[in-house]
Amino acid sequence: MRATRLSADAIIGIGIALLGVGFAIATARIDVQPVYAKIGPTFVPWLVSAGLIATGSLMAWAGLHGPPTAGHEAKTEWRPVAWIFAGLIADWLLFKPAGFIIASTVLFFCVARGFGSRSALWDALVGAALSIAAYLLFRYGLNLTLPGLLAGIWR
Amino acid sequence: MTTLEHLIAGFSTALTLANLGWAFVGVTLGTLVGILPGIGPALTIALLLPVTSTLTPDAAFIMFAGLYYGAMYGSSTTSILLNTPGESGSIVTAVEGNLMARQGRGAAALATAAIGSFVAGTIGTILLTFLAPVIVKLAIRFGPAEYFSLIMLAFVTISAFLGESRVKGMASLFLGLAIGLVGIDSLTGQARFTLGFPNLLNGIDVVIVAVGLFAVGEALHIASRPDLREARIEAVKGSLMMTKEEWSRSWLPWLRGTAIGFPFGALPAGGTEIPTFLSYVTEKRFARNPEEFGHGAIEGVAGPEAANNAAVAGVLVPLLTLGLPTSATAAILLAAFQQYGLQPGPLLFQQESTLVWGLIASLYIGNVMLLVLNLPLVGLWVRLLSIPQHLLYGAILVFSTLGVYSLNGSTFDLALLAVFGALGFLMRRSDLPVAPCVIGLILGPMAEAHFRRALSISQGDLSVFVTQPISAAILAVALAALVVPPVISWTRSRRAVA
Repeated sequence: MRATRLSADAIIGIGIALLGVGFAIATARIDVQPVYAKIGPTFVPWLVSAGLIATGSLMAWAGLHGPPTAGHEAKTEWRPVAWIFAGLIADWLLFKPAGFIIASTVLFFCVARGFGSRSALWDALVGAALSIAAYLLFRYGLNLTLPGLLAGIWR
Repeated sequence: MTTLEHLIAGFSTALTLANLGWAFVGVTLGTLVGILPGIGPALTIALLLPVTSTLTPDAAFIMFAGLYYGAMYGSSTTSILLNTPGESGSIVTAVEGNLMARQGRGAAALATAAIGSFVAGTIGTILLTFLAPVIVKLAIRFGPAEYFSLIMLAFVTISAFLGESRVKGMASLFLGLAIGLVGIDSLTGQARFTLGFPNLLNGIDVVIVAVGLFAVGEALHIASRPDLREARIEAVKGSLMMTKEEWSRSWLPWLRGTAIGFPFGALPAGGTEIPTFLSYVTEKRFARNPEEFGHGAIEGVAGPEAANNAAVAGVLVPLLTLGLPTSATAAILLAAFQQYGLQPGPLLFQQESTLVWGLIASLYIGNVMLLVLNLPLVGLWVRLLSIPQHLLYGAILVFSTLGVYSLNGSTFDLALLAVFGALGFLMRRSDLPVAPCVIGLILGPMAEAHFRRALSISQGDLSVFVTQPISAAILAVALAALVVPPVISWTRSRRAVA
């Protein structure tokens, strides 16, 4: 399991360094008015870009060459991650068109699946009950507007 | 007015029925989220921010402060009965306290943790009461250069002391700084790093980042690791009334834990974790029977539990007097102040004296409430631990999306939440500490503003940061914190080779 641990550090380090390169490119494209030429809106972004590149590269280098860090031999399951992430995406896409209650029920269901629950119907029911309760609390208790149940109905 | 007069005035604010009620809501919620794994004070305050905008600042901050204290009490219960820490400040308790619980001494562990938290929380609050005015008097003369240097010191110490390596702490800090740069530059009105999204012009809200990194990141991480998903709850065994021997073994560790915890919170070294480890090591050294450590020694629970509560009180010193957050929760509290258009610092003590002293007074009251909530009523709270994990995280994520959506009423923020959730997951996988990122996000824009303001006063002369004595001294300390430890370990390793 050491190999995955090393590559995780290396991959994330490279990712951070690449983000730094992206920030540097974006910084170069910021228009600077001559009045602010000395310490303008790009000064700190340059520093931050450099910092991301430096720390990311150091992390990646340590991940590839350094001694392995102990205590991370646990295995990773990717299915739960996919379930939860799918739930979040579904929540984002359904929130406006289908309303808060349906979107949240779907999210709850997906997260429960991700955590290995086996009773699908029960999860959906608990999710729906929780979502309706939260909707009522926010809509009538706290006066915050949420997209209701399907367009036009109950909002 | 003297400090005591201020404090008495503060009590008259805190003792109104409404504010007592808010303090009670805060400590109850705090205990709740402290006990529930996967949700902590930073996340809860972030989620409450959109809701509390309708409250008066007095009520909101009295509730938040109670929540912050309460989470430390509650997390010790989880650590002792379930061998996972409720919060990062209870990692030591999760070892030693859980061992006690397995031997049937769970009640004694809970009692020494709760009473120790009360002792440390109260002493910490007293120290806060009398230290804050002193620092305010000093800080009133600080200009942009001094504030910039202070933030640099906080950056260095936070990224160096939180987490397993400085490189990772720094990487996390720079990620936070980068996120903080997105949006319109406050001094020139120039849009930066918005990638053409109009939703990003006002910057990325700290609530979205915090909820993404903490709630979503944690859910993804726990779900991906089967070894973290199983936990055994120990029943509360024994008597909550400590025996004479247990008292005599606890009171010195409480006081020593307080002495270790408070300075760590108050200095911008940040965090509640390091003082708990230090306290544990100290207690082991002072103990009459050190061989008990690692097999359930009561001193190993009493000291660290006092240390983390004292550290929480300490964290409030730089937050209130300088506007300098040194933990993730303090960073979110700073965002809460900003939501009300308030800036913590010396001026807050002058202009919002009712708010500040009401808040401090409510901490004394909150500590008493928490002792009652967590000791006689611990049996009620323990039932929370039996909530199945899949339902708990399902509910946490539903409320997270709800809180994030109600910030701006925009589903764009839900997409951002997924992005930062993925980032939080990746950071946990490679042990990047999350706190420096949140602190960098909130302090970065302030650092930039102070930096550029200082330079515009000095007409572009960079030497302003080292020619003003206070600023120069702070920067020197920051430089030392950055350079000295690696140099020491380098010379040590060279000596070992030679």
